[in-house]
Formats: sequence, structure tokens, C-alpha cells
Amino acid sequence: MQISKMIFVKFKRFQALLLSLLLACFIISCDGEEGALDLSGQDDHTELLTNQVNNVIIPSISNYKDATETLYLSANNFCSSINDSNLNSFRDAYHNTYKSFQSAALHNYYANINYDLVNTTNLFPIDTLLLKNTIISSTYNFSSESQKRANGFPAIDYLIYSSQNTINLFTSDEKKCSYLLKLTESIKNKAVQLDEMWGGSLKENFISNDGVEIGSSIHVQLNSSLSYYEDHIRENKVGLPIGRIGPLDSPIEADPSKIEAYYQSLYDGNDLFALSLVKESIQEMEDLYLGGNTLRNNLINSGYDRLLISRGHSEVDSDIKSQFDLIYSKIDERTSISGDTDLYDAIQGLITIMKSDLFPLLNIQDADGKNDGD
Amino acid sequence: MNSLTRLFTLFIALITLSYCGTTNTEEEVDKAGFLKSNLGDINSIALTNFTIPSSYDIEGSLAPGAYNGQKRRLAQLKEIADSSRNEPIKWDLKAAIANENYDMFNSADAQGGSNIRTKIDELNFDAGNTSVADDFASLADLLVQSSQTNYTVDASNGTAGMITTGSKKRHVSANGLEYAQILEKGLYGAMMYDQMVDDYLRDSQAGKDNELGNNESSIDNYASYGTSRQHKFDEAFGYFGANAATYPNSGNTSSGDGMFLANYTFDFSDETEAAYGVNLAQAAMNAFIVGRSVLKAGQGFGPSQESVNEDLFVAARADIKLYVEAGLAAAAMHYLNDAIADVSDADKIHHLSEALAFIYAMSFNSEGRLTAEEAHNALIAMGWSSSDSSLNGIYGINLWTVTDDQMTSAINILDQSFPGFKDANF
Repeated sequence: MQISKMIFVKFKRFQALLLSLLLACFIISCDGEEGALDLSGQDDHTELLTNQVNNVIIPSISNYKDATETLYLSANNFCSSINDSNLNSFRDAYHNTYKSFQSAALHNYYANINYDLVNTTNLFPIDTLLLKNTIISSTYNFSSESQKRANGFPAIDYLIYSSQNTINLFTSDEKKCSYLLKLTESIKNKAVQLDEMWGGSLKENFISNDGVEIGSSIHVQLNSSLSYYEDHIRENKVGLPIGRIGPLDSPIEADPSKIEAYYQSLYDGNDLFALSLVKESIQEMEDLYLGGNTLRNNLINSGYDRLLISRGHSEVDSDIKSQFDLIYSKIDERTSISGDTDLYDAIQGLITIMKSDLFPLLNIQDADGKNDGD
Repeated sequence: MNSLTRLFTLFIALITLSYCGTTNTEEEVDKAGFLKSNLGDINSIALTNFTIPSSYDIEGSLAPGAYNGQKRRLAQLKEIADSSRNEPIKWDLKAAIANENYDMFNSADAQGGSNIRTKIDELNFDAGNTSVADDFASLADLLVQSSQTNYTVDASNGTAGMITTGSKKRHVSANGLEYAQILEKGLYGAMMYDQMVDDYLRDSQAGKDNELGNNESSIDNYASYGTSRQHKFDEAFGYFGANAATYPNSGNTSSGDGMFLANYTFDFSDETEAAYGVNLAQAAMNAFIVGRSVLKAGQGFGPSQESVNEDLFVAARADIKLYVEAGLAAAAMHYLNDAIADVSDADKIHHLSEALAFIYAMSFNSEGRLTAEEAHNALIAMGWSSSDSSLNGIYGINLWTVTDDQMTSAINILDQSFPGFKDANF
């Protein structure tokens, strides 16, 4: 081979190598620009945790806080001038706040559980006699155990939907407005407090608490949110009204009055609002799983789904996503919580996949029964 | 004196002073003997970024923390012990121990969802062996039945009824056994001491192997109870019965602001201070304070951030076990000494009942200086069944006829584990 030809061939090879290198760089750079998580180093979850707190938890708490501030303002407007227009505005603010609560409440760990967000804001059914007596006495303690069945959104639901003439209800008894203002103020104050905490040192603590052992942020987040999902979504929102508890087929006596937003359901003649609350809570569970990437693409803001995929468990990820879709379809096809058990079974199905597949594959110990006793 | 001589004199003086100082410290250590603290000089302990408080400051620098269940059970035992001094006893003490229906008690402190029965010898109880709890239930029944039958009878050897010690009337069995003492002091061991030393202070609870660790993150109720290890430690402290803020209060000469175990530990502290240079109550409290401080200083938000000084923790725990056990041993010695010195039979069987109960209580420590077998041997010396170390072994003893020699034998057995206690004037 002539020297000039050899040089030419070598140059061609060099050119091809250079081209390949450039192409590889381009691909990597494209990937980088889209913000994909590098999950190959599976011991470091800093990026995943940072994403969770920035794109899932804090937005949920922050949205809820904003909504509660509007709710409180709206309650003040309504009580300053009790009329249909202000009542409608208050009802809109209530709907919006109650929906945003579903997202905040799913994160039932750290500050949220320490400040007892769920038990002081959304225990239903309400004790109407206790509520009436609380309003009459004008003595409120919205943090107390004794008032927990005369508190939160279920109390508002009763006050603004239990009568066909809500305006008359409030104009005839000024104590109802006194109660409503204090209640909405209490809800707002707690939300503001939680928003401050999550935005403060708790955020850094959450991110730096790496690992998957008991007490690590991943362990706490997955276990606590799933525990909330079991107790408050599966059981309280759906199971008790239709007569089901637990994972197995163990029917109990159904009680359709034990649904969320019960008095609005009576008022509207359907459970559509209650169903929308169920949907909001499921969507937050999905949001947590996807790390805020609700578009379900593979590029940005990935969450636990990417962790599964990066470890070669795409089929489990597909199963989980399909299960979410199934739950949504079961919600959308009904107007009442009561009825068949399809929705309950679909909700239970997600627990089964998470406990039998997701947790073991991520080396997360199921924390059932690990609570500290006396 | 020229300056060289002055310098030399100063040097000699310094050497002498430091030599004298060393001698004093060594003497103190030698004097302490087996009561020497595992913590060393308490004043030299320094923790990173944490100042050790002077009390068990559970509402301040050691917060959050709580031991509500322990307070409730101690209040329940107090109500049971107080009621067992009534004659006749009209209360169902067995039901009270189990707190049936959770409505057995009058005092607000004793009311609530806790009971004594399930905490008696709990590790075995939880494993299905309820025999110790059953023995106490039977004892409670015997006390109530005998009291109702014999409360008007004067007791004598072979006759159940009342004895008089000082201004107090006390109910005893035909064998002279004061059931109420066995019930109360026996439970010091089978519940409180057992819960403290064999349960809550072990590695899987307050110690390094606690699965939930010493971090805020692993439990839901950190804001109320502190970390899991801290809570277990607080529960151990709760069974001690000391006032967290004031114990040992020398101004309260009757109890030092402690009840039950803490009270008796306090009662013999002056004597141990004189004989060993160690004040039992203060030393036990120091150990609780240091142990809890070590956990507080070493807690993290998550498990990877924990940094507990385990050596110091283990030393504090060893001190707690040592001084609480020594308090029980001192009480047993004291009542044996009393019983030997007593002139009247009534006083003797009262004090002997207490001594038997304290020695039996000491058997509930699997790592004590006095082993369960040695405790049984001391009891056998006074007539306890040699084939039955359970509480049932006590019923064969005729307390009226136990001799001074028998009690001296028991003292000598105890003294082997607590050298010098027989001469400590308890």
C-alpha cells in the first residue's frame, strides 16, 4: 500500500472515530439536557430525594397552603356578608382546598404526622351532636383529641351542605360563623406552619437522609404513604362505605354514610365530589411514584419508576402504571362510592404490587407493625 | 532564702500536693470497691455539642420524651399497695392487677389503658409463659380471701390474722407471711426491675441493636416520645420511680422524691456513702442522666446521622444496673438485720416478709451480681422450697420459726455478691 493511501485510510479511520466520539458526546449531552437521572449508582439517592422534595412534596404542601389562605379569606367574606354569591365563592374555595388537601395528606410523615395533619383536618364521619355543642359553647380547640370529630373539612361539609337553606342557617345563628372563621383560620395556620417546615431544615434533612434502611427518607416515604393509602384511601374513603376492610375478602356491614363529603353527596344527589377526592389522592400516589413526571416519559423528573427500570424491572413498572390507569377508570365509570367492589379491588391491587414487588426490588422493608409501643 | 532555694521548695511542695491528690483519688476508688462507677469521674464527661443537664431534664434539654405507661403502672401499684393495708380488703386485687375493663382504679394517675399483669416477667409472658403473673394473681387472691376471713383474729403461729407492729395492724397467713409485702415488693422485681434491666435496657431496646435506632426519622411519634432508643431508655427510667426534676432530693428525707425502687435506693444511700463513698441514689440518677444525654447528643435525623458514644452508653447502663441492684440488696440486708434484732415476733415476721420479697425481686435480673440461683440459695437458707424457685416456694416457710442463724446464712450469701454490705449498717 502506498504511503499516501495508508495515510488516507488512517485518516478515514480517525475521522470515523472522531465522528463516533462526537455522536456519543451529542447523545450524552442531549440526555443530560433533558435532565435524566443517573440511577446506575444505586447507593446514592440524593437526586431522587431532591426531586421528591422539590417536585412532589413541597408543591403539594405549598398548593394546599395557598388554598387554605384563600379559604380563610373566603370565609371572612362570606361571614362579613352572608349571601348566595359569597356562599358560592366559599364553596368553590372549599372544593379547591379539600382537593389540594388530598395531595398534602398523602405525605403523612415527618412534619405532617408530627403536627397530626390528617387527624385534625379530615376525620369523617363527623359527630354532628359534638359539632353542634362545640359551636354552641363557642369553646374550640382544633388540636384536641376531644374535638377531632368536630373538626376540619367534614365539619365544613356539614355546615354548608346539610341544609337546603344554608344562608338561613348562618344568618339565624352567628355562632356558626364564629366557628367557621376559627376553623378555617386553624386549617390555614397549620398549612402555613407545615409549608415553612418543609421549606426549612426539614428539606435538607430529607435529602441527606439517604439509604434504604428503616428511617431513611425512602423507607419512610414509601412506607408512610402506603400506610396512608391503605388506611385512609382504601379503607376510609371506599372500604367502610361499601363494607370491606383489609386485603382479603372480609365483608363487614356496609355504611354508605361513612363517605367523605357526605352532606354534599346528599345535597347533590351523587358522590361525584367524594369520588373526585378519591381521584386526587390516587393521583398524588402516582405523582410520588413518578417523581412528579405525570407525563410518564422517560426523560425528566423521574421517580421510583426510573429506579425500577434502571434495575431491569420494567415489567413491574408497567404493572404499577396499568394499575393506576385501572383505578382511574373505575372512578370515572361510577357516580357513587357504594355499589360493586371493583374500585376497592383496583385500589387494593396497587398495594399488592407495591408490597410484593416494588418494596422487595428496592430493598425496602415493609414497616407494618414496626411502630414504637409503650 | 535565695531564689534557687525558693524555686526548689516550691517544686517539692508541688510534688507533695500532687502526690497527696493522687492518694486521695486512689483511696476513693479503693473505698468504692464493687460500687465503683463504670463512668469514672462524672464531671469530666463531655459530649459533643451537648451539655449534660443536672437532672433528668425530660421537659427541657432532653426533650422530647415521655413514659406515661410507667407512671400509670406505678400509680396502679400504689393504689393496690395502699388498698392491701385495709382490713378487710374488699377490692378484687387480682382484677386490679389486670386492670380488668380498664376501669379498676380511682386515681386519675392510675386510670387508662395500661395494666400490671401483662408486664410481669413480660418477655416470658409475651412468649406464652404467664406463670409468674399467675403466681401474683394467686397471691392477690390469697391475700383478699384470708383478709376477709381473718381480719378480726389475732395472728399466732399456725393462725392467720392480724399482727401489730408499732401503730400498724398487718395481715399475715398462718405461717406468718405478710402477703401484702410479698405482693408489693415482689412486683418491684417481677415488673419494675425486670422491665428495667432485662427488657428496656437491653441492646435491642435502648441499646445499639434497636431496629428503629436513635433517629427522628424511623418513627411516627418522635415529637411525643423522642427516638426509639430514647423512648425505651425513658421507659426504663419510668420504672425506677424517681422524680425526674428533683431526685434525689435530700430535703425529703423519707423518700428523696422517689417511689418504690427509687425510694429504697435513696433509703440506703447515706450508709453506702459512709462505707463506700458512693451515694447510691445520686450515682443511679447520674447514670440515667448521662445515658439519656449520650442518646440525645448522638441522635440524628436519619439512621446514617447517628453518632452515639456506645462505650459511654454501655458504662451508664452498667451503672444503672449496679446501683439499682445494690439498692435492692441493701434493702434486703436491712430487713434481715432488723428481723434478727427484733424482739417481738410480730416485728420479726413483718421484716422477714420484706426481706424475702426483696431477695425474690432480685432474681429478675439475668445479668445481676446476684444470680437467680444465688438469690434462691439465700431464700432456701430461710426455708424456701429448694425445688421451687417460683413464688410458690415461699408458702412452705414458717416465718414464726425462722432462726437468726438462718437469716445470718442468707446475709452471708448476699454479702458474697455485695462485699461489705453485711457490715454497712443498713
